[in-house]
Amino acid sequence: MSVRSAFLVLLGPGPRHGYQLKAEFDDATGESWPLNYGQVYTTLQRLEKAGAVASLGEDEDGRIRYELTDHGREEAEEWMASPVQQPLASRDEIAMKVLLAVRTDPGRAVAVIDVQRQATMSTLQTVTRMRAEGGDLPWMLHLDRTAMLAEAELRWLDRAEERLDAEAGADSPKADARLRSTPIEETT
Amino acid sequence: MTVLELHSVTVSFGENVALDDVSLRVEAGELIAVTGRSGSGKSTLLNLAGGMLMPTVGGVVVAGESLGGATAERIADIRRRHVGFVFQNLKLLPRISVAENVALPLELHGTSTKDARSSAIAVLERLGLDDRADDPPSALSGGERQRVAVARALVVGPSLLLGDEPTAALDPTTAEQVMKIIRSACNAGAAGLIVTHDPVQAAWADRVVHLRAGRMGRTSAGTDAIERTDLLK
Repeated sequence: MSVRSAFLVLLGPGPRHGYQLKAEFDDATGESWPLNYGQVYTTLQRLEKAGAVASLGEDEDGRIRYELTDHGREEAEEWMASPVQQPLASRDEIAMKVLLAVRTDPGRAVAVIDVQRQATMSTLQTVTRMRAEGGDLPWMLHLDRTAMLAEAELRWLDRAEERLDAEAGADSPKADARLRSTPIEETT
Repeated sequence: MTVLELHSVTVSFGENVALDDVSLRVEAGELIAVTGRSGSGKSTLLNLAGGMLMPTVGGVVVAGESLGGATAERIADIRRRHVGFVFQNLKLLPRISVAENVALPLELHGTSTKDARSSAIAVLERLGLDDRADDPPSALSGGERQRVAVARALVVGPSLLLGDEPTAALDPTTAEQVMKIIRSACNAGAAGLIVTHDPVQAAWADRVVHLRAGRMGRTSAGTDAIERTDLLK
C-alpha cells in the first residue's frame, strides 16, 4: 500500500495540515510505520498535482491545510472498498527452502523445517507474551495478526513434515535414517 | 530449583520405541510445552513425568525424589504431594458440586471437609468461578468445566503441574483463559509441563520442545519484546 492512499482516507473527515496527518497516521498505525516529514510533504504535493487534494492556503500559524477534492474522495473510497489481491502462490523464502531441499536432499528438508519451526515458535512465544501484557487497539490488532501469521506458518511446517514422513514411508529403514538425520540439540 | 528431571529416558513397548533417549529438566516457575503430532511420544513423556509409567532405560526425578525403584505406594504419595493434573477429558464427578470436586484432592490428603472447602473456594475465586461453587458440573459450560479441572489441579498447591492437551475442544477465548491460569500458576512458582499439538497454546510456554518419532527436535524460547516498527517489516 502507499502513504498516498492512507492520506486520502485520513482526509475523509475534513481538512488537515501535514503535521496533523502525520500524527494521525502514527496513531492509527500504532506507530508501526515511521514517516518522516519529507515524505509527508512530498506525498501532499503529488496528491495536489494529481488533483486529489486542494490546498486551502496558509492558516494563522503559516501551515497549509488540504482538503479532498471529489476526485480524491472517489479514489479513497475505491481503495477502501477493494479487496487486496495477495499473491496465491507464495514465493516466500521458507517455502522455497523446503521445496529446494525436497528436490536436492529430502533428508535435509526435515532439518530445514525443524530450524524454521524453532525460529517461528520463538516469535509466537514473544508475541503471545506481549498480547497477554495488553496495549492500545492498533497495537493489539498488529500483534493478533503477527501471531496468526506465525501460527499459520507453524501449522504449514507441521503439515509439511507429516507429508515428508508419509512420502518416506514411516516403517522403512530409509525413513528411519531420515529421522535420525535431524540434528538433536541439547535441551537442558 | 529443578522440579522435574528426565535423564536419558527411553520407553519401549516391545519393538516400538515411544521415546528415544530424551532428557528434560523443568525448573520451578517455568512452563514447558511439548509439541508433536500424535504418536510422537508426547503422552508417553507426560505419563513418565506423572509416575504413571516407568522408563525402560533412564531415570525420572520429581521434586528431588527418584521414581526409579520406588514402590507403587511411594509413587502415589509423591504424586499426591507434588503433582497436579489437567486432562483433556476432564474427570469431574457429576453427583457432587463444583466446590466439592475441587476440594476432593485435599480431602484425600486428610484435610478436614471445612478447610478443604475454604481452599477450594479460594482457588475458584482466583479463576472467577466462585459463583458456581455450589452448582453441579453439568450446569457449567465446557470452558467453565475445564477451568474447574484446572482449579482441582491447583488446589493442592502442586510443585509440578501436568497438562495433557488442557485446552483441546475449547474455543480460542476460553483456551486463552485456561492458558493464562496455567501461566500464572507457573509465574507463582509451579513447574509446568503441558503437551499439546496446538502451536498457539504451546506459545504460552517459556520453552517449547518438539518431539518427532520419540526424539527431541529443537527447543525454542521467546525473545526480547518486539518493537512497534519491527512488525510491518
